Amino acid sequence: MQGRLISRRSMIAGSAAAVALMSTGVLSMQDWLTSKAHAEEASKPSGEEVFASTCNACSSKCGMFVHVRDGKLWKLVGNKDHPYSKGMLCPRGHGSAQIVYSEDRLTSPMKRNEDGSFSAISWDQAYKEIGDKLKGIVAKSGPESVSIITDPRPIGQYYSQRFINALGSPNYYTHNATCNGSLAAGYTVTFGTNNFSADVSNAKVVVFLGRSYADGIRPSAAKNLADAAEKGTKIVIVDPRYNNSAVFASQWIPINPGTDLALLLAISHVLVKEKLYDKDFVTTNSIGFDEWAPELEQYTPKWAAEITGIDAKVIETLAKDLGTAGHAGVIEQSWRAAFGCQHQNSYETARCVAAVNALLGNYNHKGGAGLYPTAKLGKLDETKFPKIPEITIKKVGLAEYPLQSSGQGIVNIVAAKAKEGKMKAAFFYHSNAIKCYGNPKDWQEGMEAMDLTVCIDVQMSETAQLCDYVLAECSYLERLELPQILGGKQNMMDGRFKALEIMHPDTLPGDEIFVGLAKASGIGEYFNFTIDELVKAQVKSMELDIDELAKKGVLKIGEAWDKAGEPVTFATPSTKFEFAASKIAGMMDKMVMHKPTIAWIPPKVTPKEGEFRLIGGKQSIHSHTMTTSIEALMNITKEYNLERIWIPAAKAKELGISEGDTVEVSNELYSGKVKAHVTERLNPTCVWIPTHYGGSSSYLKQGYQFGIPHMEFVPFDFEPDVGPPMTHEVIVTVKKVSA
Amino acid sequence: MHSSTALGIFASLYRRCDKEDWIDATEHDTWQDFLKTVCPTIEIISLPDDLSADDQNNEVVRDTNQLDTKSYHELKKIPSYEKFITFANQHYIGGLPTSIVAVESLFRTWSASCDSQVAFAKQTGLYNSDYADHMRYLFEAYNIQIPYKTLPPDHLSNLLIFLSLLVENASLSDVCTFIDEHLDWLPAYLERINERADKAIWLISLTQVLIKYLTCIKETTS
Repeated sequence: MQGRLISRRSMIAGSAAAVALMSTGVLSMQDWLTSKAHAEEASKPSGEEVFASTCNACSSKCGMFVHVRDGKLWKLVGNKDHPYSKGMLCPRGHGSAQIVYSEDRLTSPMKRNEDGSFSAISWDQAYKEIGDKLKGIVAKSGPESVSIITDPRPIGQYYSQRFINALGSPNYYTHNATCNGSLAAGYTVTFGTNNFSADVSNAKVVVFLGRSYADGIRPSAAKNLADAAEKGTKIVIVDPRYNNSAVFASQWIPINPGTDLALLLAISHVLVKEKLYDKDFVTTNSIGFDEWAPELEQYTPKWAAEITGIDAKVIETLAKDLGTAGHAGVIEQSWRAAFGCQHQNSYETARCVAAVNALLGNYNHKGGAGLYPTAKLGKLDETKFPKIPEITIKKVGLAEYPLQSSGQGIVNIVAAKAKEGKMKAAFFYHSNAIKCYGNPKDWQEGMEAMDLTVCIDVQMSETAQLCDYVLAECSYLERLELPQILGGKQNMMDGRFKALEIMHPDTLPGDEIFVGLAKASGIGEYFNFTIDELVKAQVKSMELDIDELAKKGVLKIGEAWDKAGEPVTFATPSTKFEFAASKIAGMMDKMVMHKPTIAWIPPKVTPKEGEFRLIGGKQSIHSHTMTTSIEALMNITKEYNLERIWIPAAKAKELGISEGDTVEVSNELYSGKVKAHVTERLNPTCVWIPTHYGGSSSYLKQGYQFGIPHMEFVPFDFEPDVGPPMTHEVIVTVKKVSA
Repeated sequence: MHSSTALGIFASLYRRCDKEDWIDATEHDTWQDFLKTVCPTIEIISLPDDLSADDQNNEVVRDTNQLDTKSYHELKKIPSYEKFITFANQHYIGGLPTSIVAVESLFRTWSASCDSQVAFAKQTGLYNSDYADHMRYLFEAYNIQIPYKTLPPDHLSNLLIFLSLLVENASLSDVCTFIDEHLDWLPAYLERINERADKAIWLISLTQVLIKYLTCIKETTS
């Protein structure tokens, strides 16, 4: 029988002949399910395919294999060869795949109506209207009035940056700018690159400042830590909170939040005073030591004890342990944690982390701070992938915050300049800026002030809810992704290959959306290629084979780094480690707070009696606010009461608060109610909340108004000279509401 | 009007149909015929003396089964296409708090298989459940292209077209089996409309009538 299209019109017209249906299959659903189950028991079901892929639940993108049966997701398995997953996937990796089938997924591009509701529109209409408006804005207010904020996944990085740069704007910002903006800038000015990698596996002593592998990102990192603990490595957790990594620790130091800098300065003091530092490294491979060392005299352990709440003897012992470990003693690099973006001294804390490692002389030593080069993509054919003309204007925000790198930028400047009427348009690609980067009220004001806001996402985040246009992307398993280069001792390239057919035909892969926007905006000439062509070209540029990458999921690039112990050439202006930053020395007229040598800067705010500093952190089952729409992950939250605010036990007793009581957390910006978790495992000057909850998008039902949001309490502010949002400079009061 | 035609008209109305389809479905005589078919127990008692042939909004009716006649009256007030498509563009798409996408999977457990190893296999409210798989299988087994291929195979519009073919061509028990197994979620869907679009009286009425009509089909075939 010929397949035939059944249309209502043809039925009305009676044009379809009444053809006897020959039932060749099982009409009954129940009978069909039974026969399917029997087939599965008997043998491997037909149509199972396996695709190399990467997770999308956080920025790590751990390698995995996606098993598909009859076109449907069957299981996910970590790729054992991938350095981030090493055969494992975290709960987010398993749970977030649900987004493919989620009822909350956007299924069509949409435009905002006057009353704030949304209506579906066609892609053609979306492109035309956005393109026309964008061209008008650029013509009238210049390309500097347009920005894009993206989640730094490869497609986001490449297409977002290309799009905004092709418009003539330098205003490309990533989520990283709030995650670790202070840290990255602080490291760059001392040793020339924005991060290092602590060799935890080989360290004798490793100190974590706030960072918790067990609450964070990569399964491989947690495993390394567990192995190190097993080997007898001294693991010191310096954190106001006894986090989930502390089970591996030899020591927990419950520091007053915002005072890690004081601890590090005191450690530096002891290392220098006791001559436990690497003189050879300092003499031959650094500048500014002679300028800085005398300043360290004031930063005694006793001085630090007053500020940090840590006994002076503990500080001194820690310093001596590090000094004795020498090259195999290391302060771990962190990411967001305690000084990625939290305090007005975060940048300075990062500098001091780098400085302590330099005093230990541990750069590129076994057990120390690794500066492993990361391979760069090879050159691509410029006729096919034309270069974007150079942009001469500076990224908005860098004039006010000159210590920030142009690569990172200061993302909250978009909202600030929008409120001033200077930023006219913003694009958001998988970025929930309003909920995660700065105070939501200020972000909302900024967005409402702009002439054009566009969000590309799979779900209706709080940011999307405020945009003029919401463009529905397909899920990550339904599209091809650009390959990612992985740094580390062995550079690698991983790939994500399309595993599922697009389920909602009116959704598109991100690359196609950008191509459509580019063409409508008059810059289509820079996007005359498909993503298949780009992936092939990028893989080929690394002299790798795409079929092999599709099969294995990850391939090595070159030989493993083997320069342990060799002298380091730093990527600083002096080519040496800079205890006194030449960049800062060259711009002292612009500095509000910082000077070339590292000095004590207190946190901006300090809680008084009856007050707490509000600090936030991660849980391993969620990524920021992105995963609170996932029922499977929220079920874990609800089962284990993970949304509760942590309150130090002694303070809770004073306030009459018991476990499970409802409390009201308040400051001048916001007030919210949540249940309390009373614990001994928290520094008494602070309260802690997980930063994932308190969703305000009624579109995302699972997380809607569950728990309290963090950013609503945070003043819209910028770290002096650097720019990140100082998310822990927050003072709150807590009172019991009900039992 | 034949049942299969009536089912085809229903199918048009649960999707963002184009204007031509809308006009086809709601043209005056067709619509009257449709209402007579899908509300078979409605009996017109009397007409006002000055009622013109074109104005039957003032009919007095009763339902001989003592059922609510409100739905019937509401369905007589056909919205304009512009009003309909505005509504559909806000409600017949996913990802919004007002979404009332008529897809069976959203009311079913995702997978009945014990072997599925995804974390969400036993959740409800996800697209592309086993029921979608079954519909895909059925369309293939009966060698029919999915009627509205931009919609999931278990979208109500596709289910109703498939049912219309069964009504025309298949056995009586097959018709009942299909209604019992693939359309028993409609009361839950009606609840969702009431939760998320309670002012959509026309759609609520349409769905109430559809549910009752399916019962009529079963009773007629049995």
